[in-house]
Amino acid sequence: MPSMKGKNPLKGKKYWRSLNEVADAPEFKEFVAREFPSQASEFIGGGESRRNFLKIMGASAALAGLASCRRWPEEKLTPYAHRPANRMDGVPVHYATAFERGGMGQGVIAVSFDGRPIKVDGSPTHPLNMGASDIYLQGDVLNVYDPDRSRGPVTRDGGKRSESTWEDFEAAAKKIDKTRLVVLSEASRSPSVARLRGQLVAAGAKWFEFEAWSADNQRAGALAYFGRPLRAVPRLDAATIIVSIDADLFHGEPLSIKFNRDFAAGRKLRDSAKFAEAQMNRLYVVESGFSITGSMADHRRAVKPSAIPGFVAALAAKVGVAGATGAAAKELAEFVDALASDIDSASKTGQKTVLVAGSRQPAEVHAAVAAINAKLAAPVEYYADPEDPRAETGWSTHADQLSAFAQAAAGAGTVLVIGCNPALTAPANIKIADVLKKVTSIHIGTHEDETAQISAWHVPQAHFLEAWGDVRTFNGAVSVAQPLIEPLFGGRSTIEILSLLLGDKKQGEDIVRETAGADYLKGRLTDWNWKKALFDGVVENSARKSESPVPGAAAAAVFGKLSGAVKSGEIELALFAGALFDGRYANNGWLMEMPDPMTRVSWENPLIVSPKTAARLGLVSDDVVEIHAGSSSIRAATYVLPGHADDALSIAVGYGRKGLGSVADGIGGDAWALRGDGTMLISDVKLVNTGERPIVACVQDHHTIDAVGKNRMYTEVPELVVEGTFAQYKKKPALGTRKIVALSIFDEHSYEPGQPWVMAKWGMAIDLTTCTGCSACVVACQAENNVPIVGKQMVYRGREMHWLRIDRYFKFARDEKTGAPAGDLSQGSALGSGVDPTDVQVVHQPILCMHCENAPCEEVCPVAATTHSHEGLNMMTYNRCIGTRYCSNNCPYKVRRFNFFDFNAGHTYGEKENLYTPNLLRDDLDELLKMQKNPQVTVRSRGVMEKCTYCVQRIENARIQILAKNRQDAGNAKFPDGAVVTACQQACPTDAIVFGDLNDSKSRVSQLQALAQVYGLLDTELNTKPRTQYLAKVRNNAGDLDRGLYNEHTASEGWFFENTEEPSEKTEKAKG
Amino acid sequence: MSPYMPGEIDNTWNDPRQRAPLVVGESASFHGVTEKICAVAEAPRPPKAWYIGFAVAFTFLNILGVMIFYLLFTGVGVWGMNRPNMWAFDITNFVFWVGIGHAGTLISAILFLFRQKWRTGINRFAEAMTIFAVVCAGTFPGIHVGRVWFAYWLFPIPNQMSMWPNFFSPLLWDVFAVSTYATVSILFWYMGMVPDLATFRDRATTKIRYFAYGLFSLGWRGSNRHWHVYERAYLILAALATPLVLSVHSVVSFDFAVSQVPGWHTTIFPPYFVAGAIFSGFAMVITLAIPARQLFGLQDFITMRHLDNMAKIILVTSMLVGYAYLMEFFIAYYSGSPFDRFHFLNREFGNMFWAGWIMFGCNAIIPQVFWFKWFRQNPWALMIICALVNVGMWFERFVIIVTSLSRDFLPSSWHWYTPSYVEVLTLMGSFGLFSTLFLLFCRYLPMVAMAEVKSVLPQANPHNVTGEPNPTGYQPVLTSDEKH
Repeated sequence: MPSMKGKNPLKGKKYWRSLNEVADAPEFKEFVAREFPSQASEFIGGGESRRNFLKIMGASAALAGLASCRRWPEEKLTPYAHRPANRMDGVPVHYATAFERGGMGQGVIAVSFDGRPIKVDGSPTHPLNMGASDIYLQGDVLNVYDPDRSRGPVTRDGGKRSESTWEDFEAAAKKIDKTRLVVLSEASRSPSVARLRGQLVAAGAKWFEFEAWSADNQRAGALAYFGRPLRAVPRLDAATIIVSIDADLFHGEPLSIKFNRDFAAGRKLRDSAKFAEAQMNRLYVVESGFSITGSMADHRRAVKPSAIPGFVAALAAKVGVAGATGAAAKELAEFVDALASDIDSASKTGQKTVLVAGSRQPAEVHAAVAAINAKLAAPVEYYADPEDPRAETGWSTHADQLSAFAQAAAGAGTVLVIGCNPALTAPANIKIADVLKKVTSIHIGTHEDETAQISAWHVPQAHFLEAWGDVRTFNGAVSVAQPLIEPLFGGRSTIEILSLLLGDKKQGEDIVRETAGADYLKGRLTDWNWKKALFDGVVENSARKSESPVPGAAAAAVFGKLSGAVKSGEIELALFAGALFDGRYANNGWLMEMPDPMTRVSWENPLIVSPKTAARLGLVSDDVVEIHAGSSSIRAATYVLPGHADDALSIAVGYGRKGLGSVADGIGGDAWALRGDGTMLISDVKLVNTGERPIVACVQDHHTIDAVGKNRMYTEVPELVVEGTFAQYKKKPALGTRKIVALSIFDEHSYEPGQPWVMAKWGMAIDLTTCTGCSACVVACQAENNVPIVGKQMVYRGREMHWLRIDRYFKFARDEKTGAPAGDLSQGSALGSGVDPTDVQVVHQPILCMHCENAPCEEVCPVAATTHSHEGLNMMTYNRCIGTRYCSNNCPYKVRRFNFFDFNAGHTYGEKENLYTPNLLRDDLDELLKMQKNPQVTVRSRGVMEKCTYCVQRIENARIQILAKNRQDAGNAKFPDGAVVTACQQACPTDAIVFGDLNDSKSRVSQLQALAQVYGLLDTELNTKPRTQYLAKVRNNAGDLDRGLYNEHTASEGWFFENTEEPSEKTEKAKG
Repeated sequence: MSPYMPGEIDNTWNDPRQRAPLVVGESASFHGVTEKICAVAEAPRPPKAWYIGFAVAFTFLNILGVMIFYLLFTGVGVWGMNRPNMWAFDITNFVFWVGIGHAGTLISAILFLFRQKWRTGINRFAEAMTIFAVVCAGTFPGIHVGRVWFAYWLFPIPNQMSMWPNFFSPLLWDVFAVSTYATVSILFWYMGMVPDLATFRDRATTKIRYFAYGLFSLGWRGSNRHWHVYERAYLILAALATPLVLSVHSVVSFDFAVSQVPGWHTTIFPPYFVAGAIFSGFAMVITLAIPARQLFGLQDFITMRHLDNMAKIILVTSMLVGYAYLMEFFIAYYSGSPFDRFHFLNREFGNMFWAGWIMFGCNAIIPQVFWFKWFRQNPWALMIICALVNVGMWFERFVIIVTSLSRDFLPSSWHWYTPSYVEVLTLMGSFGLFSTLFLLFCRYLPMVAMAEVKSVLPQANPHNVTGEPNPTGYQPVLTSDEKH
């Protein structure tokens, strides 16, 4: 993070002084306000000092009792005679809490270390997360420590900014005339917010709800079809055929975490006892961009956004939905026929089909999809949403809510904007800046964002880890959110501010408890139930039952409106939510630096173009273009992505920020500005090539690749990513994996149990069939292991530090005889890697340290800084490393990362375009960022090599507990399966990563590694014996719809044994 | 005979009945040798060209200092390296300079053992060059590590952690090989210089010179006993240094050969690197000798015959190196390893093809002109070709290191490499260091081993006092002190 020096300096003093709010005793306040070491004199002094000392002790114990919500005081000189309850130094404490994004509640388990939240993961009990995460959830903990968060109420008079106080704001709030108050709130399904909103509305205020990246087109579609704005929850796990209609199921949808999990549940070939009886779902995707969902597709077509309603109509007609007519565009006709016949044959055997349309598709498409799903009796659950404020005023979409707000605000006395940032995200046809400037506007938000910059008041909103709250998820299940830390910058939660406006000024916990008593714990609000709700993370019996809606009166008309639902244009543009979501994570360095799983670009929102369109427009990757849509224009670098629809463009929103923070400012272009109206699909855009070519930080395949390199990729990648079809798998599950019989002249280390120090033989299995490339593991690893971010320039130079990366390879149809790419490759030259732009598949391959048993890195280190553990971990001793970098050279997987600079302390992204600015002597780490660091993992300094450790700190924590339990028989202690879960494994929503003890034949990882489709990357070539093994990727194609894409690849020249079903037998024979 | 050097005496014939003289012209007497060599160091001021050269060299030396300072206080990131190219200019320069340092010891040790008398004219010169090259070479592994302040951990120093270095690692072998080589080379060079330093001492006209040369001549009086011990020690050191000529670059090549990077993992590396080192070392000797002999008037000692002989060695080693290049290709094909096959295709036809062709062209093709006598005996042609050989040999190391690393196993990790200005200036600075040391050597130390040269004069042959036919037509005039 950039230094706070010179800008809003935060000294340790200020941070620790916020303890004042913790303990109310005035003596304690006075005491803590003093600084160390003057405090030391208190202890030596007379009787009065002793009293003070006892008070501190008392207060500390009280703090400990408050447990989850307090930061521990810095007590350097007061060792305990008796340990206070609930506190053990150095032992992390886990709390269940919750937050919501876009009105969808998520349950999390937060890890608190000495009072500092350092990591969040999905709550295993929560119906949406079920223990899993996405990138945003993993990245959210960094937002707590964002130095650019607002630090207190701010007023603006004209352009003049002045810092204010909460007292002033409270005084101002008292004067607000509630009958002339108009509220624009982010979507929230919090029962407490709903209750306070009810009170405000009763007092005469008007309430509108706005989310820029909104999923409510689906509900508008349900309103059209069923007459009620129900929330659809497609059950991907219950369907055999899944049709994604421009939906990025696995990233950015409200239910993405659940979609990932449910989809993977239908692809767990590894779990069936007999491979011949395995079942597998099939994913059809029609989309304009190339999303990670598209990369998982079994059959996929890329079309312009305007062709999608036609596709839906044609499909509806084919499957026999009453009233549906229409034919798909000719490039889709064959696809629709094949899909319809597949659906038909599936339904004959009782298998289900489900259609899912994407958030950015218009309501008409969603209505039609609801009709088709109804016709097919698709496994879709529908839930009512009574907390929706729009239920009271007549339901309308968020875009309409914003227009209504703009009208209402014109005559308002005060306008309150909660959480959202309409000045950035509002469509261009609503002049929200004019509206806000004319009235007294109050902005509640975490940052002084674009809306705050034009509001009269800005008050800081607390992060969810700092505040009490309650949220509802898709099925209405309530989770209570508890704070883990006192607000670092004095922010307050939405409910506290609403309470303040209502004149109550209640504390968050009181508000939530009151709501609980009135709502979800009605009649059973006991201390026990309250604690249980906090402990469980979900309130018992709070989930609703799904509804069985019947088509409404207007249901027959839904197909009539389909044609023309998306305007067509010569070149159409679709907006999508990338790493920054709608822009709320723009100042989050982890997410900013996370390479997009498809383009592999970080620190940028490139304009994504198909190779053919790029060739037609004369563009190549990196060209900066001006994008004109309506009256707006932005600039963005081009990225040519094979597999993208022709004559269509895609760009991520949330970039191009001004005055938000040091990470976000000036990165990329603000794609929100291109929205003329509420739609994310923009029909007609013009591109102007500016001729500029700045650096674009792409971590893979960026540079133009020559013919030699290209040919090598054609032959090598199929050996790195073994892939086969479901039909091939059923015949021979080994697919193209190979084994080598390497006879060693040495006695190889056995790692068998019973040897001293060997409690386990660690190994990992990564299932490429279920890995969707969602990248949650990448961010989780960064959060867990104190992996620094390095900034755009350093990423461009190939110095990013991610311990876990997800390699992305394109696959294209190949001529069966020559092995050369089929199709016209000249069009692909814009990308440089020369792929056939029409038939493309993408595979994601997570790469982390393989922990080779024959680790090439270990032998070459001259100072023995990287060594092998008795349990087979390839270990890195940072303190011993002198940085010769030889290990990285000799690592065939290139998983080792080098601290070229003091990245952890360096202010690398203050100067985003310039080279790293050297600091001659090491700076101290930023005080705030220090707080986020995981104290169980070394914070590496410059000049040392680092890499994945299999989360060795988690292994050792588990070992301590196991050995403590088995003191009598420590020599035989074993790790039970699941005792150690790596950070990436914990985050993975599809359970694609499995870690455990290979000595335990019953452990999941042992069973997976025993499967025939398992292979070690480069193992046959180099005999590295990697402990991380991959399960070959299987796709489930139906016939030859994608000409040639499913050709079985052939292994290169006869170096290696082809793997058979029983590799062990072959090994035996060869040895004999 | 060169048109550029009027008055030069041609001693380059190959008549087996007659040995060509190794020292020609006025210097071909004991006194002449002493006068000529001492004159360089005793002149009140060096030639103007020396001042110009020294100014340039010293400037670059200072640039090197600034660059190293910047590097050490900032981080290795100021260089252009990335992942996968974790080594680039640093190790390229190291191997390049170590290679340069091979000619000296080869000339002084191996040619000594083989009784190649022509070595005497150039050996001091080449040994000095060796030592300065090793100084340059030693700089790079020292500064390229991420935490320079712990670089001493590379040495097996007993410590409280009972922690030894990893004896499996070729980098550790490097430490031993290069430090042994540096030690023996310095000893060899210095010991061989003692009689000449004594001559300087005896001729000293100022107190400082008298004291300094006196100190370093270790009380040499030229007694028979001194000569006896000296020659015995010289022989032993030559025997010790001989295997080092082969071992150092073999060990340096293990840095690559022992690893498994395609393009590095090759068994041909040790002999190939040694041949390359001798190749580049001799090229550097010629590159330096031609201007030096002109500047200080040493044409009598470093004659056309010497240059011709060295050019022939360059031709031989060029063919050895070229053979190794081709053999690498063949083995890559013959092994069937797809990684090796790709690497060698990529080396010549991939995105860094130019580097591969500079290496092949400069090292294997251009030196073939030395089949023709004109090229061997034209100083300008020699200079240019040898400079190109040095360029080619630098690129050889660059190609081996960077081209191999930039595209190894996983295509996802392939990455281009671009040097930063700091790296380029550091390379130029290392030439500054080398040249500064060399120019100081030229000015203050005996550039030609006087005592040894005298021993190969016809006069020194006890059977030749009456005067063998002297093809140069020059009759040595015996001075009074040589008469008895």
